[in-house]
Amino acid sequence: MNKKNLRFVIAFKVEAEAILKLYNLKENKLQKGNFKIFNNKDLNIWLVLSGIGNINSNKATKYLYEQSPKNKKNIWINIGMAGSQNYKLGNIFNIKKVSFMKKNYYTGAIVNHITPSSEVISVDSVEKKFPIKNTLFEMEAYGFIKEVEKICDREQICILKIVSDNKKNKPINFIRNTKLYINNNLINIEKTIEAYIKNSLSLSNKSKVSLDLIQRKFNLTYSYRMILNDLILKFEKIYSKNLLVKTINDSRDIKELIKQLKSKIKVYLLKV
Amino acid sequence: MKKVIYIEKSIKDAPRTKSILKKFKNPIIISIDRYSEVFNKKNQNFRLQKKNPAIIIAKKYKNFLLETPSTYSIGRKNNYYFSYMYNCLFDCRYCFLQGMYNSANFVIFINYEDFFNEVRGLEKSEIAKDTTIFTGYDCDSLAYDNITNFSSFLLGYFSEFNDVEIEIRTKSTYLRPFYRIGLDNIVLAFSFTPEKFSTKYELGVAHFKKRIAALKKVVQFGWKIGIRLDPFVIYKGWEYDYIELLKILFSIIPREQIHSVTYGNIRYPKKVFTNIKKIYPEENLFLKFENNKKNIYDEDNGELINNFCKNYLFKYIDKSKIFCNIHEK
Repeated sequence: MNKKNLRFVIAFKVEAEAILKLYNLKENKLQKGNFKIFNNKDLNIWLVLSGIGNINSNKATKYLYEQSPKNKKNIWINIGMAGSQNYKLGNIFNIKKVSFMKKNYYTGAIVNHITPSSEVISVDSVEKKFPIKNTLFEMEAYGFIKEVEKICDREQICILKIVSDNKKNKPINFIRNTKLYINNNLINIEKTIEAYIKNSLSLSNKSKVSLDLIQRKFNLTYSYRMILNDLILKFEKIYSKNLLVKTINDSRDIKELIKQLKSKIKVYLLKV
Repeated sequence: MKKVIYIEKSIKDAPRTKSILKKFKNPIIISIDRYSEVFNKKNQNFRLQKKNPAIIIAKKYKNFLLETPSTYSIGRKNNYYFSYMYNCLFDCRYCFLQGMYNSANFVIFINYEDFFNEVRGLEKSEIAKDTTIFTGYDCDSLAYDNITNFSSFLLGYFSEFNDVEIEIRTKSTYLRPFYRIGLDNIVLAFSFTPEKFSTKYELGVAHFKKRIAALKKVVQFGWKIGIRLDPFVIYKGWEYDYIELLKILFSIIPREQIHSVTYGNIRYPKKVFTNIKKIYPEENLFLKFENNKKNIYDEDNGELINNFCKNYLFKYIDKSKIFCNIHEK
């Protein structure tokens, strides 16, 4: 099964329900922290419920990072509701800029074709006036992005916000409307996330070259490990694993092995 | 995919900003305070950004002209460069920019006048006649010219200058602004690798034949031409391909129009090479790279390249026009 490598940070269960169902995430009751975690280990998808506000979203993000497997391909996603002066209720936006006080944070620019892009102003108390047009007001994105910026590249950060209220429509019936808006946008959410996954596939995890074979035959110091890691990576790229194994077997000691690998790499000529 | 354009607030209404914006259909515009908020921050992925680089429209406030490294020259004693852009439209796998910046997004500094005011200062100085300015150091000089309109602006200034020489270095085929009689103080420099290599490793660059056709056309206007064999690449069959390449190039450009030829191997400072290896750990091009010289990573092939170039280039042009960029051990 192809892993999706997703990490969701969502404030409320009602906002998360559709995601839990979509990816078949189950509560992980073994983890005894301040935040509830759900996961699907086969797909490498994890979700944390942060509760309201930037402080909580920041702590929950940190918590999820500590509790879940680390991987360069992980995509960090914050989904939630937001208010706006002029955007229509139920519209979804892919957030490219998060402002909090005088600080600005940016997500990657590549994925922008499925859901319209916008900016959020993150606040610490409920915003009712919505002083700026074409902007969303919400309470978790800053806490989230402040933490994920330390964990992953901008291109792996996705913030999706759905309009729950605007100047004309006060927030009423939060639970019912949230469910409705998220379900209505679920196809878009899934497609957007798939676009992030597609991009992340082109990232290569650092090659895990096994040194076991050499370790079994010779005693390796730290510096030899470093040298051999690089040489083996190159050698395997040029020749084959079989030839590598043969070269290891034919070498009497570590110095001879290094000499053999180096000399074979040296005669390589780039093929165009 | 749409184009994301970041614009510094202070220049959002500048005419040049507006003219750049007009070139894009429904861009996503995000306002920023300074370009450094979105460019070259550590948590960015060059490889992913290269799929759809954003544009950052910015203003530069200082350091318009910078000195080149001491060995960087095409004949004159004083050498400077300026960068009205950072990064490049093309995706050449060997390009040092991918290790120099964490970001693949393009920065365009739109206050062109400030760059040329500084050049004007040089033009009036005593060293003007012995000075070259390079424009293709942090970017390809013309790759984005249809958006930035920079070369038309440059031509306007340099038709007034007499002494300072400027090099415009490119792999682009967009040369329309140069379909006019050549100016004596401008060198149009074209970077070439053999067709086979270019097709595989210079992504986004027009096909070799198209570039040769573009070169042919611009030669007719009498421009001084520079040939840049930098990098000069060693691969299986390189010798034959380079002989063919030189034959083609020197059959197109009249001897008297050749300003200079430079060549050099692929080489990087340690920090740049470390970054490139992180982005493309699996790239065959770098398999034989080692720390051969002080702080420089390259293949140990300088002598081979040098011997070939001396043998073949001397057939076509005067020794004084050939410049080698291979660091000695």
